[in-house]
Amino acid sequence: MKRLLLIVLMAAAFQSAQAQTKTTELLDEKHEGTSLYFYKNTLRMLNQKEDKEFDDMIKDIEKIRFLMIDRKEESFSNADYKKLKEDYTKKESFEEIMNGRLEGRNINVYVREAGGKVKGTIIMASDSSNLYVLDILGKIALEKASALFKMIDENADVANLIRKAHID
Amino acid sequence: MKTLMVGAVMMVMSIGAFAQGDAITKFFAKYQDDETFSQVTISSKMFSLLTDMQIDDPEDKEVIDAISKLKGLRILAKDDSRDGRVLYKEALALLPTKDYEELMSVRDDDKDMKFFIRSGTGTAKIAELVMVMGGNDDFMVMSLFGEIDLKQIGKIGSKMDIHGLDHLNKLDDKKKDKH
Repeated sequence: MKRLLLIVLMAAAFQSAQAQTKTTELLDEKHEGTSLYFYKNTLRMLNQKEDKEFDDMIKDIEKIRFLMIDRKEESFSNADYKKLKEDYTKKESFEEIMNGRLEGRNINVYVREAGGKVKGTIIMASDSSNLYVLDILGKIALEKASALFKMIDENADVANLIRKAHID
Repeated sequence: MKTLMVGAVMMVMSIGAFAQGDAITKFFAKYQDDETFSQVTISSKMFSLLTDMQIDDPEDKEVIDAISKLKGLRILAKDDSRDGRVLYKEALALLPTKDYEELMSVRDDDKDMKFFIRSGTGTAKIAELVMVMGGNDDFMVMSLFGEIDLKQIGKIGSKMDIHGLDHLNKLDDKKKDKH
């Protein structure tokens, strides 16, 4: 498992980071934290159980960037969160399709369309401890988004490995 | 991370807000920034994206068709709260009886629920469905608006994991019993 994860990490590391939203790029540049890339091929590799539903979910995804920022360490305020949301909608033409708050955690979902098709999806979540951003190039079947979170959650050791690498 | 996932799943599966009655808007405005409340707001765009789903089952297609006519959903909820019944009464008092017609009342364990509808114009016979629920330790108000097909709402509630909407299936059951 660890070996596979390392291969995935290496594969991801050699991919270019182009075509991501500028707002996410700037956020990553400005703040230290966990930054993960999942490309279509790497996503397929994570699907070790060869789950067909998972394959369907990722078929229209070109790339996913996942950021996790420690809000306290990075002094990321509520005003910063508000500005980040505005940057996605005003500077990047994303449209908010959902927002919510659950157990003190705010969640916002945005999409950007071109030619009637979804070309990008942003899922943001923030609580008093952390900020999470999923910047998806392409489209995720929203009804299957739960599976994506599950995948990232089940592969949290990837994040831990990277976090460790950052610290080392 | 687990709680992030659960939160996101619940919200994404249950899925801004637009064209509601004034009363319910004021109630949401009063409490939406109160962090002791959970809230979800879903736009018509989200509903339209859900209709892109590839569906084979005819019954599911009917539900998706009903979802495509929805314009928005707002939920405001408070769990583990002792003021569930106080909030329930406050929300009910704010609903103008001239605009909203009571559809159904349900008592489920320690919870009271009331469903209201607001009539629409044109093709939308029902423009808004409001559910208010209050119990000994929780409270929820939900406003679903757009072109609403009551026959499908119970199924939409099941798809979106909105507890309480399943009671609307009883309306259909009662009709069947009469025939």
